[in-house]
Amino acid sequence: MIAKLDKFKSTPVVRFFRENNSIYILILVIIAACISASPKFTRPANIINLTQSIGTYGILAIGLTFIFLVGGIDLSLAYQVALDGTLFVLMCNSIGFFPALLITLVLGCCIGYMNGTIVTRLKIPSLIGTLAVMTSLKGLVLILNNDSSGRAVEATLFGERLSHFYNIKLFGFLTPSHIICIIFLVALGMFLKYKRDGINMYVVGGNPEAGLFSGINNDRLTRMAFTIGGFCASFCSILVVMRMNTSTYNMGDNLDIIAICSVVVGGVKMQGGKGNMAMCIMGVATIQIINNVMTKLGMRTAMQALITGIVVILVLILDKITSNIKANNA
Amino acid sequence: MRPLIELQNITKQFPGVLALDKVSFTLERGEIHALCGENGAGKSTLIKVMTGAHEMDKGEYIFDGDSVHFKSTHEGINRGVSCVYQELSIVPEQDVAKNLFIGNLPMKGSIIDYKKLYSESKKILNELGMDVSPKSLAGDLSVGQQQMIEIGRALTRNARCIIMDEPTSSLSESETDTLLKIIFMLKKKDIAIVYISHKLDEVMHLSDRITVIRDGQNIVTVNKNEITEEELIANMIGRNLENMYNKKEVTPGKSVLEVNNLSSKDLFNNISFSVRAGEIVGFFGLVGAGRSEIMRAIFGADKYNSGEVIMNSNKLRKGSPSKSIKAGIGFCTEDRKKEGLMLQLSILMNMTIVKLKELTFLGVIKKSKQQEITNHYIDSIRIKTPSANQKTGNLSGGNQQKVVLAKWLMMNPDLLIIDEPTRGIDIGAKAEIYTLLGELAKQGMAIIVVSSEIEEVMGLSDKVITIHEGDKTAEFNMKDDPSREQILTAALGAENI
Repeated sequence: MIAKLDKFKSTPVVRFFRENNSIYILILVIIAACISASPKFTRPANIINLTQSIGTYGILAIGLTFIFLVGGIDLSLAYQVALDGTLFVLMCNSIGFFPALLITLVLGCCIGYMNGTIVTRLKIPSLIGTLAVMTSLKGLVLILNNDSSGRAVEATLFGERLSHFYNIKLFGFLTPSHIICIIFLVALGMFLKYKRDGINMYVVGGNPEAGLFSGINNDRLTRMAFTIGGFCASFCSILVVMRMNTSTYNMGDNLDIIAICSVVVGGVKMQGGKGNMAMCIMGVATIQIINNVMTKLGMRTAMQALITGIVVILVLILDKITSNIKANNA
Repeated sequence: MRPLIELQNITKQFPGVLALDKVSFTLERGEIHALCGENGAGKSTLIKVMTGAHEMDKGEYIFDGDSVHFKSTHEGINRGVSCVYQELSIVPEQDVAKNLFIGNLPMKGSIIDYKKLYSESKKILNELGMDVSPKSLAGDLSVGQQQMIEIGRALTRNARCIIMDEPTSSLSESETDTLLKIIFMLKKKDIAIVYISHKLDEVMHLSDRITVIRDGQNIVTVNKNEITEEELIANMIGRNLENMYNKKEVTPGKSVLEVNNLSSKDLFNNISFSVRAGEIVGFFGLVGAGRSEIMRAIFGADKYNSGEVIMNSNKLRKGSPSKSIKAGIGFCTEDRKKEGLMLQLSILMNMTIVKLKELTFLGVIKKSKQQEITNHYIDSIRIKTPSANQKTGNLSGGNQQKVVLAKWLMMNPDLLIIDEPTRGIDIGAKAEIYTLLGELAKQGMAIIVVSSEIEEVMGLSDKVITIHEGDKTAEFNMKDDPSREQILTAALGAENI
């Protein structure tokens, strides 16, 4: 009996589930539930729409994953998206698309690097440091979006060209946000697995002391992670702007919560040292699928927020239970 | 040939403290050199200068014939000086191979060479005699295995000198034996070892030479066979220590604790024993034998499946530490930093935190009373500190342990359970803790001491109970004068006791 059980446990499929987060089982259950709950869910248009938003938010979550990996947190990411987006729209309207794109991406890196510097050089805990940055960025976004009388205005992109670009479909289903997100996932996933700096990031988050005594420059890697976070935020902002064809002063609202929930649900450890691109994107997918189907069912936003919160807690409980089982089996 | 490391007249000043005062130290190639001294004697500072974690103020550091001045541990590592620290530096979520090659990953161009990483790791694990897959998570290993990983790490860096700071403080006897074997193996490979340990029997067994430092100064460097353990102790503390255990004759009183057939699935089975007032009962067994788990169950920190715990003839409810405390049980845990102390807070706060309820008037803490009671305990159990407001994190290990003790003594327990009372504590402080426990027993307190040091258990206890893989294997009355071997065999679970 026990031998049989052990044999069962060592089959590749079961081992995969045992060694990875319970999220993979959960996501299958959720997808099944969604299909049965709403027939609209499986329509091609909805699937493309859904995966597009997974791609867009996924990029932000990828950035956050890096920051979590080194044991930090960046609360300002959402308002980096808002600021980058606003400036991108303003610049697009004045100096043209490509210069604007370039400047926005550089700006994203700069803000991320600045956050990293605040954390490593000034030794301010990232929770506090980025909270201050978040507040400042929020203010800055409001100032940029106000006209002379202080009324909030929305900067609109020139023409419809960009939103058209957002919906270009390669082979009938691959849109730019899909492609960009996949490139990010693959490139940064390879970075984490095959580059020295990537693996050392796990050390920085998992046991900084060990890093220090092994000659790893913890501070440099922390700054690098925050810079990657800022870069991802700027890419995300461009996709969000393209989709809406405009930037609004409140486009960053809730993005931080969505990103944090997604990444945590995926199994990335907030304390650092554990996580990868697969966990990150699985978490994003879970949250986006749930939101999508709730919208399709016509639920109120308040209700959606409530349910999303409950799902996050349930996933964390499930993860706790499965990791206990794993510990007992070890 | 010149020695591998020559330190000449090293001086290191910290604000307010002269940590090293013209210390000299030589390390020959392939020798095992023990460094002894009490906590705060300057051992740690000396090894930090050797590794490059601290820069020396004055003096000369000659490594392999070159005068060097390491500005970081990285520079030290590159020259071949590696250190295995007391606090483990394992990255738990990463696999064994990556932990071995931390900061030194094998590369193929600019990409990590996984094939080489795992094959090299396998080689090193074999060398260390470890039956562990390089792909298993480091966090899943036992503490002893993690320690081996640290040593393996030094090997991956082609270390020519490995400094080991209290490597056996958290190892069981069998793990310690393995470690000692590995140290001899390293010696054969012409790697020099600096060995720091409070366990003098290990030092005497292992080392070729011994250097004693005290108060930041060299006291003596001798060959092992030129010194006895007593002389070594005398050199370390600067005076003679007569009887460490200083046991007083106590006639045990009425039975305080009765444990009947206590069992918990997979952890321990059918444990029965009793403790009487004024009696010290020692629990001896290997790390992981279930000693601590039994104590946690008695205290109510963990649940158990069957059996009963009777305290002062009342049956204790299971799984409720607060009920147990009320019934008169005090429990000093094994890991004082993790479970017993808040290092950021003052001695005062740490001591009185369990007693705050009694120190308040209308919900407001009576500061003067709090101060008074803390000072009383600081005096009575001789905690060395400038004031009651000192941060606990700044105290030495021995004094921290005393703070934990004081916290429980304030509750006036009838039974004190103390798990590994002297782990990581220097020899002078050890003797003081032993004296203190003896005095408490004399006042009529029942005490259970859990320890993996056999001398400690034998020296302190009136009764020794051995635990092997969750079973009670024997109970010795120390009046019958059982031998060390008898107790060890029982703890190892061998038959025919």
